[in-house]
Amino acid sequence: MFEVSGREYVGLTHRLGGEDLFELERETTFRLAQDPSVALGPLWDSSDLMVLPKVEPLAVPGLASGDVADDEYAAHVATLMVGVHRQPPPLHSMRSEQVLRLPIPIDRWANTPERVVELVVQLREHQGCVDEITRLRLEVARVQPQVTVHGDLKPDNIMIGPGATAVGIDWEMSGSGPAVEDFAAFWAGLFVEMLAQSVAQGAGEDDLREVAVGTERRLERMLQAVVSEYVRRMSVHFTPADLHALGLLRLMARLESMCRTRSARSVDELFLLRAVTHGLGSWKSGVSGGAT
Amino acid sequence: MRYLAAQWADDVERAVEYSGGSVVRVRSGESVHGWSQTSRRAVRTWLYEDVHLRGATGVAALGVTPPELPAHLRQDVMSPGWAEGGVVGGQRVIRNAAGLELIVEERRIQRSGAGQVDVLLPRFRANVLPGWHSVTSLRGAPDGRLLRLYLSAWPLSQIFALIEALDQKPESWAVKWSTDDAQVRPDSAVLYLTRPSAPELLVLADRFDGGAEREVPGFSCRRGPTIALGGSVAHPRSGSFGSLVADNAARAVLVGHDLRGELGVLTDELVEQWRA
Repeated sequence: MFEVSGREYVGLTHRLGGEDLFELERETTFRLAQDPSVALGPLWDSSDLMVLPKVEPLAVPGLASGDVADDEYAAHVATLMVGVHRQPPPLHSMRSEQVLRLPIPIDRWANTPERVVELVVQLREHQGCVDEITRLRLEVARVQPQVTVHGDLKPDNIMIGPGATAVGIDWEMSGSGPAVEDFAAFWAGLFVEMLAQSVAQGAGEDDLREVAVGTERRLERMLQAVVSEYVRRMSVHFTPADLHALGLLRLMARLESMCRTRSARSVDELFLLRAVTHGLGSWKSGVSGGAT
Repeated sequence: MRYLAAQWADDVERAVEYSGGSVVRVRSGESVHGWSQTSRRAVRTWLYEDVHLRGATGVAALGVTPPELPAHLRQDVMSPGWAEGGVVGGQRVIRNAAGLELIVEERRIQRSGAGQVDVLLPRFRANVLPGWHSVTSLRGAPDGRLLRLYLSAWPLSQIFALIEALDQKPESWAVKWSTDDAQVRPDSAVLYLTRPSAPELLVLADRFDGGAEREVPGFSCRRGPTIALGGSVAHPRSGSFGSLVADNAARAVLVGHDLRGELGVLTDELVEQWRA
């Protein structure tokens, strides 16, 4: 019996996407692990299980930590992004989570959690925006340089590797794509993380708007720091509006994913939903955060 | 029914204790200090897990549809009150009052005139909530405030047998069951009933009860070895009766209100509902 305790392991049965995603993750992990500042190679591998070295998450600075901690965090993230984007792009395109939209095929409805369905219905008023952002995403992918992208570079997937450098985990969405996709994934993931921090520090539901606005401000500062560090070493070709729009699409997909896999106790859907709709409204009216 | 409130309160007082102005979770040593929405949510979660779920965790992931799902659970049920929603990509769309739009095959649509249609919907829904499958009665889902009947650690075969028996009755009901194999919850299956149908369906469920006594949810009223009664009120966010009771208890614990009195209101209501 193989002992996996104390290690990060990736099993075929742990991948919701099944065998295809497992194979993609294995292939990408082996390829990228040639550069240990980007990803770590497996300790052991079989047809349905891959055991990776145990690593700790790169902690997002607390709200009270201030700019110095934020800058340090941003530097780690930027270094990882540069490391990933410098790798030769693979032949396959990155995978992207799709936002569930109305109308829903009846078979899919019968296999979708009720809360997710409710969320999709509530987001209906913004469906025009979602369509527009989806078109924008295709256009961005068409015109911008293709690099290796992680595809799901949220804070949860950024770890501290050997030598105190940041490394990525969970590579099953990776492939070739525009660099902005990783910035957008980071933006959306950080948004969720920061909202969670705000909630944990005692914000009630009535304080939501204040929390959302405060989080957005700090988020934009953090993102600005990541981009500044990144462009010292590598050029980027996207607009703040691109980033904001693609981030919102990610945020919606993230929210759906959280609704699907966790209980109400650990997900404050209301906070996130309001943040998403608030963000969509801002994007629609042309008020972009402007990170680059 | 004040003995029930006292029993719930005793369980709450075993789950948390006071220490220097803080409320401490006995099971883990975690603590919160003073009243806030955050401390209320934390204590609610502790009580929900440690008292209502008897130590199980409330976190659940999506489950796998059982391969042995019997044929009668794969039937469709008639759902009235849908509106024609046009055609998208060559496929028919229907819309309900809540704004949900579904793409359906033509065979599922039963016309009823004036743009309104009845539709055949699957009675089994996988992962209706993360980690829970559900089945509705052949007459569709029940309406209104629903009473809960907790079926503790019933195996799937026993749940399916109950559903087969319920199908012989004209009432509306719904059953959900946990897909989590990693932990046994005392509310691993729940039957939702309307108040008028409760007495008859309760007697039917009793026929499937028996054997060794199992733990039932902490915030419930034991009916038999593996069956317990829950009320119709629910927490507005989670839709859970146990969570609502845990929330009221958390508030009482944090602000120093009369715990037995707070819980007594809920136990009185629970018993009254089942009596009616």
